[in-house]
Amino acid sequence: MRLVHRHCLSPTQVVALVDGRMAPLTADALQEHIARCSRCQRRVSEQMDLVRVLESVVGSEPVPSGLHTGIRRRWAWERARDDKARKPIWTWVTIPVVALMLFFGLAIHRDLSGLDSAYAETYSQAYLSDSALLQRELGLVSNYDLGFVDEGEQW
Amino acid sequence: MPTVRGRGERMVSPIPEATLLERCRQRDPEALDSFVRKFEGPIYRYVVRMAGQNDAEDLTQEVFLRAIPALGNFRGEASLNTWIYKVATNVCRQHYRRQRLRKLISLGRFGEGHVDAGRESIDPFESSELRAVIKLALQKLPWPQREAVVLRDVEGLSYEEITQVVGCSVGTVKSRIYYGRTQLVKELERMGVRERR
Repeated sequence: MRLVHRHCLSPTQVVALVDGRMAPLTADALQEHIARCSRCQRRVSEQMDLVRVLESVVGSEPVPSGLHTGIRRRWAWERARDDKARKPIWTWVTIPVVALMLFFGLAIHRDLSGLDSAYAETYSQAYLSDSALLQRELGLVSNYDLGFVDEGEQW
Repeated sequence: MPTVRGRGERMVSPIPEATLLERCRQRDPEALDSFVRKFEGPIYRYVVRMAGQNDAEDLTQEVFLRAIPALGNFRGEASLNTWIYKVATNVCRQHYRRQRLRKLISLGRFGEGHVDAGRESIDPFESSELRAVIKLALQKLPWPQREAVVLRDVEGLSYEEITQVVGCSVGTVKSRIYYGRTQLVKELERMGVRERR
């Protein structure tokens, strides 16, 4: 008994038929239907034509000459970057040592600057007291000067 | 009438796959070199068809930069060929999402005048005009259909291999191939290819 497919082909059947991925018996039954159905005939032949055109362009795409070198160069660059990013063990020791040195350095500096400021305070107090004394002693002179200038102006 | 189609270009290497894989995992420079040589051509062509010519070289490099360190995690459930196509598909998908986002942002900023900014132009130095037209037509297919059609009709992968690359059932793959081909025929007709055939 010969099988004849009564209904139009489903999309998956069209694809399987075009790709030759169908059991021979089923394929024969579908062929019978296609021979009678213009719609299915068009669908199948359309897809077969397209597949033929696509096959003609397979492998014809020229590969850029520098592609291989480009891949190798980028691979080398990425590895170098990763190696840089992966810090050796001594860097993990160095970082705390440097941090400690900075900390102590700052502490010592602060102590020294504290001494400086104490000295400056004493000095400024001494200077202020000296200048007050001078002002008191020279008060007469300044008064005299002022009087002299006033007189001069009167002349 | 329908005939059994031959597969597309297959990748042949003088070193057996298992040996190549093992040596690549040990970062043997010679093995890495032959791994790249074995796959660079087919992957480059696949990327051109999926993402267009402009970014193909960069994306192919990206595929290998991802694949080489990941060779250690390759479990061998699929063939190396299928696996590298999967990596390439993921790279192309990411690129496609980025492009779409960029297009959306530029649309938001400048209005519809910039819709064509990312569109691929026909390369004047293209040796075959037909090839250029097919590439353009492929770019117009929705992404899942483009993947299915390119993997099947250009790369020659079987339905089972495509399911591994794309991650869906055989039925879905066939359906995508069907609708992709139908739309591609329409696009090519619109571009005037049918008359020239």
